[in-house]
Amino acid sequence: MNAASCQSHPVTCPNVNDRDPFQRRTATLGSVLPWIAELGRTIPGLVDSYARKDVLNPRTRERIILAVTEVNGCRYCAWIHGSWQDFLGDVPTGTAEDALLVYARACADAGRPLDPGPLAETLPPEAIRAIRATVAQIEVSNLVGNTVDGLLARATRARPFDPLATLQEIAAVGAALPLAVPMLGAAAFLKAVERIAPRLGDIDKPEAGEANLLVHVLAEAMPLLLANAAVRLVVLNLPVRVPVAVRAGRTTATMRVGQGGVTLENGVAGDAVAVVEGEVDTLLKLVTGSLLREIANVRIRPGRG
Amino acid sequence: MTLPTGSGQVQTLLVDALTEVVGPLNVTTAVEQYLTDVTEQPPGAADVVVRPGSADEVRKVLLAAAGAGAPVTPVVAGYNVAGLTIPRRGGIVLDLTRMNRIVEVDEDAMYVVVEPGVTFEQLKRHLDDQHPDLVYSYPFAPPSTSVLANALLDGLNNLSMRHGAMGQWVNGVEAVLADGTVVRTGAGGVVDKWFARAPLPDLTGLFISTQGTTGVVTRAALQLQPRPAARARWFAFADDLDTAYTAMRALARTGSFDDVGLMTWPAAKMLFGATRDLRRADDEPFAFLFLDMTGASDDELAARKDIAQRILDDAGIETVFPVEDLVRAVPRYGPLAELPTTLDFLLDFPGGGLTWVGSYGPGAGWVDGAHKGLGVLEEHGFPPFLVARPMAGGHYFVLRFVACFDKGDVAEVERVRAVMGRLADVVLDQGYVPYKASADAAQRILARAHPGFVELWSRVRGLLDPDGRMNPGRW
Repeated sequence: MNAASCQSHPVTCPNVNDRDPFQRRTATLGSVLPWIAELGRTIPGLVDSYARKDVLNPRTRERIILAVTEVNGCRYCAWIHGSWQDFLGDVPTGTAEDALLVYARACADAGRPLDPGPLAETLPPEAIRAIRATVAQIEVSNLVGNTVDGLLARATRARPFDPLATLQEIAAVGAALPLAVPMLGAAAFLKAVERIAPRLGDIDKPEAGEANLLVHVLAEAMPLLLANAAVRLVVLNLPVRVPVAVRAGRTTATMRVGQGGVTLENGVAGDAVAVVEGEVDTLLKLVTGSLLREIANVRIRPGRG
Repeated sequence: MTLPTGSGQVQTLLVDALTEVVGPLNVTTAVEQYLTDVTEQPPGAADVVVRPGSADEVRKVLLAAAGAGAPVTPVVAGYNVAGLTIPRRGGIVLDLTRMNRIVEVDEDAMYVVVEPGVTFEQLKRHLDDQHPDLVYSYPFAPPSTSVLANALLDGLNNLSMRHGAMGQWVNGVEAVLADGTVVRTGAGGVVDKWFARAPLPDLTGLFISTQGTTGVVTRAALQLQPRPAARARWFAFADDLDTAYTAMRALARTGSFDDVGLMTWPAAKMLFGATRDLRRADDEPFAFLFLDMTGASDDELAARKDIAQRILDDAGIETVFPVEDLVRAVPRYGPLAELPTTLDFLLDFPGGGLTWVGSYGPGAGWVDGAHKGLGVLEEHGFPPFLVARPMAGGHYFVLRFVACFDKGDVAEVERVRAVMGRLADVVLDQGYVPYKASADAAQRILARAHPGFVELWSRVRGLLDPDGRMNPGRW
């Protein structure tokens, strides 16, 4: 719920009133407590949301965060998590994610955690717990971020001075600073990496009719594989194109990565430095981000190069 | 009064009569878009296009056509890949797209009554929104194509392995005969529920696979199926046709799966933008199987997955993976995962030509027929592109040979005509029978048919359309 809708739903926006021209929700006991309680109920989910890609994909997590932030209008969180999302890279998502974003926005609109029941039809309990925790933590962050702006508004007299409220706001911001400052630093770092990481240009490969299916799939999946700015920074800046072969089922291909680009060819090249072998589904999951879980299911052996 | 069509006199008479029936906005002499399709079939000829909005208007149009002795060619999307709606002898093109009402869904007896203009996209959206416990069966065809035409032409959809060709899904029809008589078949012809074709004389068959030659179907009752609670879809790679057939046969016979289909390797390459000079590397699979599995519960689905995995293992198929994993990594595969679908890679082929010979026949001749048909395609310079599927629990199989071509290249069009003729003979030699048969394929079928079949068909057609005006040039 944005400021305008808060005005039309004062019951759900307890800290917004007609006399205060600052119309974004800020951190008050009443606004923060439901989210703190939600975090308390879902704390393992908060850990999972950052530690387990199989529970909640980081790109999905960041989309949820940005969806909530868009509703609450917190510019600091938008900057931090926008940087994070840019660093991770944007990749296409399925329609299944739409339901998560709808749920996250609805929670933000309501200003309190909502029943995640509808998500249970398609998601396991641990994923739902991670989503709830993600929404709760960014809600708290949004409220604190907005409180900073609220204080600035008071300082510039764009907002009436209220000693008690000001003290409360200072306390809320002060409590959040130990976490907020490192987050801002980390976001600045991620943004810098994203800016200096080379972009993936055209991929050299055989003619479409000649390229084998693995070459086609790798070419299609390469933007996904190199979506992460840190990966691009390292891999595309290699001083030579490093040949790595891939065997998926029976079909083989060789990727040459480095010097700002990627070349793909049919078969295992004689100079391949390594051969990554695995079943097709394992390699597909590797491509789509289940790296930590699937890495154990592939074999990497030295090539003849 | 029977006048030769194409004359100015008949045109004027027809246009006036038809305008009176459907209004001036729904009659036009701008017929060009109806005279060709994506296939190699030569352009046709027509005098007037009329777009009725109801069964009664169809009846009046057919009465007017009968009065003028005008041929009538019905069309909806015009996308049947056999030139079946190209008007061959002038006269009236009966464009049924305005008749697009979903008349009724009976949740208890599980059927839907549709008019000819109802599209797959429209039906799917309607069921998903209004009747989420029921599903229809969808083809690898654009969402804008006609549900009813697909059923009447005995097409194959994604539940055809379990429930048979789409003609089997028709519980009954309402149709208008060449002389304007309105008829009904199936249970709905006797009582007010179209619950089945049984236990009556099966007159519905008069309108199945007859390509509009026996009358114009204005509505049909089509079976629906319960929506399963759990679903999984797999891709699997087969290195040769024997392996693929062994797996398809075994999977179909369990009765445990919704769909098992096959495409050979050129389809996958074309999906990635390849058009000509397709080459298969030695380490690439020859064919791709797709499996659609459902269950009333997660446990039932898990049990079916176990059965599928065992069958694939026994057949020697090692590479099996969920469709979702592929689509997530390669979104381009998305259209293959959700039907109905527009397969752009077929429609976007340079020159825009697409055609095939599809056939139904016994499993015993499948492998041999597939090899021979693919050989014919390659002999004529086309990639070995085959689509296949067991049907009706494995009682019969599909052999469909596909060719994309440049419609602007006269020599290539001639080559396509030659190869499609050869392919029709190849499948007939294997005991297979072309479905949605082009005019040429229909003649090849009749040339080999038992005299008794030809005689009965001739009598039926003579009875229902004595002047031979209904979609002439077919059968």
